[in-house]
Amino acid sequence: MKQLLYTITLLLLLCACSRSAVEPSQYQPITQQASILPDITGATIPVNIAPLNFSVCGDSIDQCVARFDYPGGSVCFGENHRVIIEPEQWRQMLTRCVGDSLYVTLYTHSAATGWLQHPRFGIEVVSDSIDRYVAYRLIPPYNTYECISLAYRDLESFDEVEYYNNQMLDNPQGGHCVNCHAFQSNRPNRYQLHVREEYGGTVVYNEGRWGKYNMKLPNTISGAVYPAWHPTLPLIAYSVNKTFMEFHTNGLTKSEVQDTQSGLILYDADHERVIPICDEPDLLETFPTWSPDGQWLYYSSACFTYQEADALDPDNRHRIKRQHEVTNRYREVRYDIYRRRFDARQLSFGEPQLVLNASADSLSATLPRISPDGRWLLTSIGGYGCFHVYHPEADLRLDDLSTLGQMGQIDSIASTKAIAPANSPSAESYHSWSHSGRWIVYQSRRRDDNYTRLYFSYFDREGRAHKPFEMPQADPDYELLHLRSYNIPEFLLDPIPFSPAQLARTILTPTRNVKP
Amino acid sequence: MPQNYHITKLRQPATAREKGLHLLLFVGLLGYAWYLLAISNAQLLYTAQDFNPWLGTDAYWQQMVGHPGGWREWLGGWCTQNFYYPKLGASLLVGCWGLIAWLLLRANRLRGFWAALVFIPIVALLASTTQLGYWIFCLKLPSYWFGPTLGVLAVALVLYLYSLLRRERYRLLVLFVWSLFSLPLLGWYGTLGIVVLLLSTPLRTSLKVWSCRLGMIVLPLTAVALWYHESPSLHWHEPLLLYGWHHFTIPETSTPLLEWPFRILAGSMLLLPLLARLGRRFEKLGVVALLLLIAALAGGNMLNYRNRNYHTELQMLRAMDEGRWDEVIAPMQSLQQMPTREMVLMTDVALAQQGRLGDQGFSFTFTGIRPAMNIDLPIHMAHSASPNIYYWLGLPNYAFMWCQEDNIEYGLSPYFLRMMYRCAIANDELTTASKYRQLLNTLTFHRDYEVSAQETAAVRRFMTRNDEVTNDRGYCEIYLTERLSQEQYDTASEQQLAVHFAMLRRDRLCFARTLARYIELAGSSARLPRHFQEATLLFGLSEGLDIDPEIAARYQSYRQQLETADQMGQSQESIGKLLRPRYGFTYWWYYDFYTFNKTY
Repeated sequence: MKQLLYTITLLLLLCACSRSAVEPSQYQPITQQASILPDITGATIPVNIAPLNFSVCGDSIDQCVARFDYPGGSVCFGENHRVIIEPEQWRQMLTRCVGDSLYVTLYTHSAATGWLQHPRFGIEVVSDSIDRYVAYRLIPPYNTYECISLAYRDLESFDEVEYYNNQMLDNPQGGHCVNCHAFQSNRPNRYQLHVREEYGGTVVYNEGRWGKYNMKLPNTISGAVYPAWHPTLPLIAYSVNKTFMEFHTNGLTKSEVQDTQSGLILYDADHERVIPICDEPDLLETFPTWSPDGQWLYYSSACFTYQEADALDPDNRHRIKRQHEVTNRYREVRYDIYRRRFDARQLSFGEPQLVLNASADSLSATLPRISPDGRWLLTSIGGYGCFHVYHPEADLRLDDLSTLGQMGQIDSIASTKAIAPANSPSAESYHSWSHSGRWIVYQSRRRDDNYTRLYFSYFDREGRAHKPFEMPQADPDYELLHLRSYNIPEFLLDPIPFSPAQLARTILTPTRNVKP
Repeated sequence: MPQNYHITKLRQPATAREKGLHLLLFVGLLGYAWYLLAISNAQLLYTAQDFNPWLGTDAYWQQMVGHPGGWREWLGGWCTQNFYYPKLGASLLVGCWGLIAWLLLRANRLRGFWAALVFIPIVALLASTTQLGYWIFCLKLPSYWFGPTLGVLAVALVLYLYSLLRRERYRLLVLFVWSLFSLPLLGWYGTLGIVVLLLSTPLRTSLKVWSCRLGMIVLPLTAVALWYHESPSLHWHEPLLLYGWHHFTIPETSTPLLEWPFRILAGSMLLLPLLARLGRRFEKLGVVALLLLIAALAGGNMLNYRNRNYHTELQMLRAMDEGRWDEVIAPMQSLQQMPTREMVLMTDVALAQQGRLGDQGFSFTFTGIRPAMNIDLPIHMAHSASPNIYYWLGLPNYAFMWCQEDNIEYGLSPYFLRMMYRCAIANDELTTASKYRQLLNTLTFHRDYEVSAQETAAVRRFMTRNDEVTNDRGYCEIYLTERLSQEQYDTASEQQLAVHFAMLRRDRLCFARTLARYIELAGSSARLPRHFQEATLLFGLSEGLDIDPEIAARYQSYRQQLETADQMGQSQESIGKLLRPRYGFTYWWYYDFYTFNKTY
């Protein structure tokens, strides 16, 4: 029995130690950088991030060793083609590297070449911590909603908590979609979520109080769609949209989500009432967001006048005709960024001010997000349309709101250079700021053009974005085989305070109508 | 009755007659089952593995074991892969059934004809595999094929073990362990096992013993219920104790009829210990058991889905998937019944790939119907052949879209995975292709799957540069007809597709436009394919074209017969019937008499 115990202990110790690797004594230095996934070369990372494990690409590579050099020491990791870093040692390394770089020297081995030493690369470590959690939706990459889960990740470890999975309430008669989760100012004590199809309604969690509402009023065009919590008050600005989805017959862009009609509303959570903000017939207003001081409501708006559909069908009873026209002219739909002043006492809004005239440059700007210091406007910019997550040409764009002119319009010189490190040739979209304004999270299809992954980019005090890193995974090959897209990432300072069952029970409750 | 009565009986060795009878039952029934599966339903078994949602990844494992019965489903999914070789899979399945029957026979100590009872669950399992029909394309249950067998096998194993134990304390221990682990591992089969074990114990005993037994069940089940209480992987509409029960419900319909094999399965497993007691007491009434088995066989036979179109469709789908075009067309040449729309469309794809659409596009039966099942199932091509049809006709984005849609709805199976891999290659999305390649590597029989350069070229020649934003709204055939009849291809061979679909629309202008393009590409001196000549005659566009005099004469004869019949006041339907034997495979007959059956 004792022998058995000793053997087990020894085996456990061996397993525990197996991650540390030995630097090869004989190798051939080469000038070619090894291809690694995720790409962390030259990235800027926060001091509190989980280990950035990675794997070396190449079928012939059977072994690799990475030596991490940090002030006062070095350590090696590597097994097979993967580099999996021991979390405690990683934390120590980062603490010592703050304000400096962690240098990685990679050795790869294949039967044909023996050991090769690749050029050393650095990872810049900054003292600005990243918000501890990021919440997201995990969705199939197209229009089906059979398997959607809502989760949040602890960025300091690899722990993921699924706080809702739509399969919980899935029933054979019909499924339901959950979308657009939104939190107030990076805190989960005020939360909202839409449920579509079966059990449809908008779930609002207002500091411990649950409610499920039908946000559609007789005079609004739809229920609530894209949400934005006011930074401090129990108010949510929403867009109301008539949305549909079509598909490209050829090319990398596979889908188009388009609106035939849209507008904005304000929901007052304390009084359970909805106040229409705007619904101009020739304007498609969508994607609201608040300035951090809560005094301005920013949003995207496109001017689109129906030429054929409304002539054929003046009463607009046949939505399909409008859909046809939008589809036929889909490249003409281009959004600009506007804002309206908000009066919190009257719950009223001022006249629209054009902030970013993207359409003048034949571009379309969506998803405005203002940095917490109120200075920077981050948008998703594409050639047309509103759903840039499907557009390979879509990039993040940064504009300095301090250059706003007398008439409100921003200087046309966009800080493309400053945001360039965050972009890639693939689609970048849906971005949000950390509470400090030092980090941006966004989704990008850069890995394979089909599945979105989360990227985090450092945004320094000079207003420059740094090379991003992909959300770390315990198994660096995880994303290779993962068949869900990450969607709607939002930073969180605290874990979500309710359980999946609590949310599910609320979804099951009857929907209440809001008051006008 | 003394508690150890059956033990005494067991010790009496089986007679040679009894052994012979049991052997006959085993060989006869299992042989019949193997023949029915491996020979009569070979295409079905192959399709079953092709639509079997199973992956050898950690993520899939985690996803499966998160809910009750997930382990059984995972293992069942793994076993289903063996249907890739139908005879291998059928042997494995029938082998499991043989083992179940043997274990049940031993555990229940059945004598004489009473042994027939152990084959009733087997017949139910057999019926469950052959009854599905078109449900195979919209079944949400992972591991449908082997899962129930594994569940019953586990129950039979524990029952056999239980029957070997003499002391109550050991039996209580088995009851406790089974109650604790069987629900997470097996789902509702765990509950079935608990009840079967209870019914297998001597029922007339003290209250104390019964309290202990119930305690050994209730305590672990409570722990299991608490374990799953807050789990987001649990479907709330499924009662925990019946988790994984086979429902045949989709948003459009529900079919309790197909649940019958499972009801019979559960019922027969529950009744078996009780009937076994009866059998030991009244050995001579064994003929009743035999009659019950015969009734079960008759019921199972009724559920067997024999629709010839269905089996032909499965055969054609596989041939199309593998690009064996002659084998797609072959069944249409010897067809005895009206084909389905999907079969007609698959034939068009095969002819298009062979460049024979212009000459033979109307040479096979084009009057397809919507398949009908004895149960009200809304059948959609979108869930079966559509991805393949779109792919081979140069619309990989649409094939990819449907694979994405269906792999979420019905699970990621080799069929969808292979198709997504091929679409990614055709679209030159090599990083995405490598993702699917790695997932294919986790499958036992698809790990060596590769797409040939020849296949990619065959698809790409139909991919046009014209990108449009459209939507098929779930109707592949209508969409293809509308879209492909507008296409402008780069070579005459491919342009035949556009001309053919323009002809299907009966649209003179569209035909004229696509034909002009065809002639431009083929050269004005090239021979015009037969059906195109027929259409030019019908639309009055033959001037200046080189029309075969025989076709022209035939058309004249057709018009004359048509006019004569018309003058005689015959109905359109009867004229169509009259002319069909001679002109049924011409475009003229299609144009004048074919009523487009509702597509799906």
